[in-house]
Parts: sequence; C-alpha cells; structure tokens
Amino acid sequence: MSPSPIQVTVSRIESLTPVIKEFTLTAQDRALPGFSPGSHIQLQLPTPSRTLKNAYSLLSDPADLSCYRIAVRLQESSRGGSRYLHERVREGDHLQITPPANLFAPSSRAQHHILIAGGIGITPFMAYRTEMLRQGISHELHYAYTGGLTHAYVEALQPAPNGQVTTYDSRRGERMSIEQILSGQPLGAQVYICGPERLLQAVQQTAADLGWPEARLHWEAFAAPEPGQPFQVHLARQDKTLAVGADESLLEALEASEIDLPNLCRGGVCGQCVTPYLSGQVEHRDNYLPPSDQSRALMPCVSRGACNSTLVLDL
Amino acid sequence: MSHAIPSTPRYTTLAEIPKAPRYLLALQSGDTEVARQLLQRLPYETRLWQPEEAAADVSQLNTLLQACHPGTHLCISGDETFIWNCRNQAQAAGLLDAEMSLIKAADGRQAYCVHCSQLQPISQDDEVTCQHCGVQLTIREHFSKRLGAYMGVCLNADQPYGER
Repeated sequence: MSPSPIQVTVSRIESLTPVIKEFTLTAQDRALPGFSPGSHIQLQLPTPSRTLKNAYSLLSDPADLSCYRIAVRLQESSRGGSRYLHERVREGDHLQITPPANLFAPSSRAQHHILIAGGIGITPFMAYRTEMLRQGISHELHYAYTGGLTHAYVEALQPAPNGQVTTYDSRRGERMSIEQILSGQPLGAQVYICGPERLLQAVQQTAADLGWPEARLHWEAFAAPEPGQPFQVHLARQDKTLAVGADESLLEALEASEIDLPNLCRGGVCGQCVTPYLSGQVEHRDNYLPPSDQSRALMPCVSRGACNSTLVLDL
Repeated sequence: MSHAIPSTPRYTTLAEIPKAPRYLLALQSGDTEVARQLLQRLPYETRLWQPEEAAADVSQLNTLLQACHPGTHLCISGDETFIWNCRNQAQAAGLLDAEMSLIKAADGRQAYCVHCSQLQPISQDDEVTCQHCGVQLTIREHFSKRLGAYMGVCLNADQPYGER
C-alpha cells in the first residue's frame, strides 16, 4: 500500500542560519524520482526513543534529479525530529525517504502566482521559483523572516528582476502589507501561502475582505503532530489494545505495532490515513474531515483519543 | 425526466447570487423578465455588457474583464450558448467558477456533431438532423462546458450517413 522507501546518503549539510540547516540527499542504489514544485518527502528519523517520519518540502531544482535538498528549522518544542537532524545526522549518513508527493502544486489555471512565505515556509517556493523562472511564468514572491535567525534564502533570491522578490525583515521592522499585495491584482492571480498559522490566517482574512473566493488561495498547513495526553486505543477487528504515548501520534503507535495505513502529509491535510472508529471520545485536530464525518472517522496522523476513555477503531 | 448526469450543467437562481464587492453583468439581448429582475437586484454600480445581437462576439466581454480585479463576480444571463461562451471567455481571463453565476433565461442551445465536428444551434428536440453532414442525430444528455454544447451522435447505426 505504501510506496517503497528510497535509500539516500546525506551528502552535504550546510548551516544557513543559527536555526536552519540545509541537507542534500543523494540516491544510493537508483536514480531519484522526478517531482513537481511544491512536492514533499517523508524522512525516516531513527531517534533514540522511536522512528519519526517527518515531511519536508523539496527546495531543489525539480529538473535536477542528482539530489534532493531540504531545509530544516530546529523546533524548540518539537518531538525530536528536527533536533535529531540538527544534532545527530552527519554527512555520509544513510537515511530512508518516501518518494515525493505533491499536496501543494501550482494551479495550472493561474496566470499570475503570488507566493507568500514566512520563515522556513520559503522552502517549497524555492522550487516554485526555479521552475517558474525556467518556464517564464508570471509570479511574485513575498518573503518575511527574522534577520539573523530565519533569513536562510534571502541572499540566494537576490538579485531578482524588479518586483519579483520582496523581502521583509521583522528585525528591521519591515512589515508585509497583505492588503497592498492583494490589491490591484489581475483576474488571473492566485495566492500560495506557506508559513506560520498566523500568516495563513492573516492572508485568508484579507483575501475574504477583498471578496476573493477560497479557490484563489492555496496553502501548505501541515506541521508535525502536536503532543497531547496519553490514551488507549482498541482495534475491534484485531482485538488488540495499544497505548499511545503523550508525544506520539496515533498513526505512529499503529505503525509501531506494524499496522500500516496509507499516508502522505502526516499533518492532517491530505486525507490518506482516514480511519473509521466505533466509539470513544476524539480530539479532532485535522483540517480534512468535514464536521459531518467526525462522528465516525478520524485522522490518526494528528487526532487523538481522550485520556479517560478508550478509543475503539474499526481496524 | 431522467436523472442528471455529472456533466449536466447547473444554473443558479437570482436568489443564489453570492455577495461580492463588485459585479459585472453579461446580458444577452432580448428583453426578458429575468434581465429586469437582475438589474433590479444587483447594485447600481454594476458594470453591464449587453451586446445588440443574440449571437454576440464575446471577445468584447474580454475588454471589460481585463480591467477587473479578483473580488469581481460575473453574472451571465441568457440562453445556454451565450452563457457558456461568456463563461469560457471569463475563465480564460482568470475568473473562477466560484466567481460566476450562470442564469439560464432562454431555451437556445447548441449541439456538437461527433461525426463532422461541427457546432450548430438546435431545438429542444432530442432528435435532429446535422445541418452540416446530414446524419440523423440523437442529442445525448452529455454536455461539454468547453464547447457549450450537447453531444449529438448517430441515431440509427444502420444509416451512419446523411441522405443526399
């Protein structure tokens, strides 16, 4: 059901800022599969406590299949994936990745692409921009960052033709005016957002105020699952009970028991891992299921059971 | 009446037109009751495009669209041929389906003959003779949004050609 993993070698690690490192991954035994801008891979990280699978956008040139490049921001409150990559992984190490999948592709109908990045959210747009420059596709990039901390690709994006790249350094008090960006755009304009939740919400709000329908907005919202309370899960068909730890997702707990569910984003947006449940309280944390389906299905990549009742899955 | 198939076009009523900061109205010629109600319902500043001929050159609509920005809602009222010609013009200009209300105000429609690849206006009958190749056609329910036409296929397999 899941695509077979690819073995890669970490051929280069570069510290771009105090909190962002770029990793170059090179294939070991076969050519890397092609990808489109906006694609991501899942990286398997054998941390001391357990194996994590984190999704990272590919930032390298989609036409260059000699390697994949990803950039990872060290997250203070993470479950250990970014810390592992920053502190444990060395050049020459071997890792496993999934083939690229794309949940954030540019719209083929758009005639002008407005890319809005916050901090590490620049990564998918690095691939977008390379491809759009090659194909002569009309676009503009707005890149907000904190100078000295998350400025990873500011230099790489300069110089750019007039108006194509605008940078905003919050340390220097440079603020992005979303209203100004969206005003006066042509009818063929569509917007792409990748960055923190508050940036996404600000763009959504401004777009709604200007009367833009949601279909003009595209965003990448997936992030690693947040920790929660430990809980119990019972698999009705297999008559098996598992314990899910506080900093472990339900999907990870199932995988640890060798129950493999299809999954792509591991962040509650793609819908691949949807699982029916029979009883129990669920804390729905995804952006996928409509409320009408929440009484019988859940997304185990991010959603959790409650600690005082057993969740019964139809598995 | 048979069930709607996925390609069956859907039209909206006046009450379903969503709120938008600005409207553009494409109105087919012919003084219909729907047109009167539309003009009454939409704000005073609504820009209006109403060509004089029923079979209008919709590229004129493009000139108006080029001056618009996202946030504009296009209402199109007329027969199916007019509606889909305008809709395709607007889509090419960058407007999304969510930004258009299609209001069917007249019965005119067209068919695409799969044998000679010609578009032609047709009646509401479901059996017609192709005006170009003469084949007797049955008009299928299948509708092409791109062509703005129903599919016409040979009615009688024993006579797959026109009578001359």
